[in-house]
Amino acid sequence: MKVILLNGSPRKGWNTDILLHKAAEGAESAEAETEIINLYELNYKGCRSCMACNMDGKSWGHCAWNDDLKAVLDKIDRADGLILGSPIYWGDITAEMRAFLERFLFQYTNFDNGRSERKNHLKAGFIYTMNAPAGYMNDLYEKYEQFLQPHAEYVGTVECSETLQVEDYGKVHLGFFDGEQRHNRRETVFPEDCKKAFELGKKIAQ
Amino acid sequence: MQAFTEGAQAAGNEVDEFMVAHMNIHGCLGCMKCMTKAKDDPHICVQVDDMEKIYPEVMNADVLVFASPMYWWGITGQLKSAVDRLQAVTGYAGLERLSRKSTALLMTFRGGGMQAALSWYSVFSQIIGCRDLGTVIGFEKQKIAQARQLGASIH
Repeated sequence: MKVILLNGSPRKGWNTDILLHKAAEGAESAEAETEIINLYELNYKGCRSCMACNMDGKSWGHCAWNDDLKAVLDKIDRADGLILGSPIYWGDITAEMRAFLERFLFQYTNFDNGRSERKNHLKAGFIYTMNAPAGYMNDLYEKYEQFLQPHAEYVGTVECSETLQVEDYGKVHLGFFDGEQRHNRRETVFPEDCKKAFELGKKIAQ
Repeated sequence: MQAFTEGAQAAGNEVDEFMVAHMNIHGCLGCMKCMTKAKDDPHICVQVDDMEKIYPEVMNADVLVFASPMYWWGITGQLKSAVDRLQAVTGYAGLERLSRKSTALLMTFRGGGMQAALSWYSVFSQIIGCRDLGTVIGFEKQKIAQARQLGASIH
């Protein structure tokens, strides 16, 4: 059992990264082998609609674009579990996660019959972090669950809301947010989110 | 996008186009440097790439138009990279920098996802506080005329 975790956040050591590590621990507790990949360290762009994955030939069902994402897509092709983690930037997942998903989903989708061209069973889950209050992005979670479902058994979503964005709110133009409340949440609610991430990882590995 | 531009130019507006899919634009690093109060860096964003060409135009513009094909019920990753980086313009001089502007959305699509795309656009406009000029979404021929009209409505 191999579980790949994709970090769609550029900020190492922060909320999404921490939750993905917890999810990895959860998967490892169920004897899975795990690998965390930081998308922001890779050089790639979103789908270019070259259509090679939708034409008969050696690239059928696989993204043909040869950049840093190719090796990642190949790894996921062989993996049993996939956990995606992304903060919400301007009302959607980050550009890097979005670009990854475009290529991941398009290659597997057979537009003749709507079925998936993925050969191996995959379990998947999504971890979202955001400044917004809980429930604000529910439609978005449903959207990506729906997109993943043809290619994977969707196991669950973890939402981490009203995150701590910076250590010192006095130094940054984030006056809209209450730093004290965020620090408080970090102590009280975030550990619960970490547990949920652990459970998600465990469930995916089982 | 061409029709919108023609309409806007015919109405006496100046238009600058950026083909973000063919530009070197990295995603936002979330480093918060653009939001830092004691800011001594002359760059709007710490990342030096093609966004440097876009930032001054965004700051001077009255209208921001986002044009994209519908990919998985949303804008393309390439455009999302540029959108994410707009954080630096809001951080550069506070949210009011964008709130005096208007936005429009042009999307080509056939199939599902219109509601999801519009819902993203509405959340995005709400956060940045721009005034919505209108959206043109679809594939039918009349959409070209609608885009031209939307462009021409700007004065």
